[in-house]
Amino acid sequence: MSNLQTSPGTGPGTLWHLPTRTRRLLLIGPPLVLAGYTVLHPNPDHNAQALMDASTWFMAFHMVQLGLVGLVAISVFLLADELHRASAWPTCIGMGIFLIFFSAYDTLAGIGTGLAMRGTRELPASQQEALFDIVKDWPAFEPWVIWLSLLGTFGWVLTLGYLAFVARAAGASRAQWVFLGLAAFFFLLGHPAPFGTLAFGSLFIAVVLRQWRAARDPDGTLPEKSRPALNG
Amino acid sequence: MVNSRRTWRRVVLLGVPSLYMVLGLLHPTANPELGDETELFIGLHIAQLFLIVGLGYVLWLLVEGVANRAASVARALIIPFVVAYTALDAILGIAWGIAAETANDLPAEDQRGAGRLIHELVSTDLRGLILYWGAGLLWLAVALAVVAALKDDAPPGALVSMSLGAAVFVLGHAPPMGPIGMGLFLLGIAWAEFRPRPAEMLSQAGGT
Repeated sequence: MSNLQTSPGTGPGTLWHLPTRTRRLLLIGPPLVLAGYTVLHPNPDHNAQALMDASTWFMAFHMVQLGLVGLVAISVFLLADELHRASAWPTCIGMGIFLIFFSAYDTLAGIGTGLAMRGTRELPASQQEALFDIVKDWPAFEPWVIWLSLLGTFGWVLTLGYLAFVARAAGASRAQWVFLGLAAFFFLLGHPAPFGTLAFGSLFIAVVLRQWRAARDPDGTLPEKSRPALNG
Repeated sequence: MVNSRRTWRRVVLLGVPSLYMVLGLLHPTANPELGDETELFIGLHIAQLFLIVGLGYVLWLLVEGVANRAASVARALIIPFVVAYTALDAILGIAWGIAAETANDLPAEDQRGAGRLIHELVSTDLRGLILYWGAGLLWLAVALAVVAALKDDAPPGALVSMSLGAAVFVLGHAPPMGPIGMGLFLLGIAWAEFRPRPAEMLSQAGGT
């Protein structure tokens, strides 16, 4: 498992032996799609009626986002794999924390809120208000949910910040590691547009720059100091 | 270095399923309703988030260094499993608990509607079925892919135990199925991990 791929049909990396086209699709596609998708993030007014009206879309949006979060994690793992850091602890722990806690946050604040408000449509107005009081804090202020959000964000920042550092140390172009750093920074400010869009868009630009350089110079993708020894 | 790595591997491989068994034993057999205490229930499902990522790492370690197709499938399924099971935990565990906890403080006339809200979270329509069975079946798929990946290397008894445990665990992490399923899975892992290796058998043969 620690051997570099050498067959001409496969891309660089050590963990997942994927055809070059599949690898590039998984690297580039998810950040681009998620960057575009976050523009559609619902932003209803903070009252019972608005949340009930938006509840189906609110729930559906976050269900799709949940799947895209998993795909973006694969993209980050593949990028780390190309930098030979897929098994490094900041990658594993950071992405593990991001996947678990951001997914939990997304599910609770997004799907849970949508699901709950959908079920209140047929109730009397007074009960609708009471139920709104239960779920109104889920997306932002419920203490348990805040912790899930903070931990999920921390995991993303840890991994992307680490990969920016690794890319810089490995001699990647300045644009590559700066955009990786920006992907970490913008996510600190939130996942809906504009900051989520900027975060995932920055990751997309970083991986495109890397793949573009790899396509132009297949043998020079990795500077010498970052290449692992093939035979010990 | 090799010894410390092997020790760490065994701590994770045996520790995470053991903790999952403990969580299952502490888990109430039914979710809390209005008026019930919710602290333990919420706490267990927050703790379960750590165990889900730990379980993902266990599956990753089990196929570490295995280069067959089943191992690749297992590695590819780990992230979808982690995301889906986290979603299940967040809705049916954390959201349920928080909703019940908040509803307990409502005036009596509003609590009936709150009960409806809680049960909306576990709806038995298509969405609920996808969430519940999707997460469970993804667990089964990734666990069976791990078993298939190890079939040339691990003892058949260990593989049977892991498969049975994985199948039972699909029915839920609450008792009795959760601890039984995870216990069988743990037994299979321990059996495979502590089996005599070819090098050890050779050295034993040489020593006699």
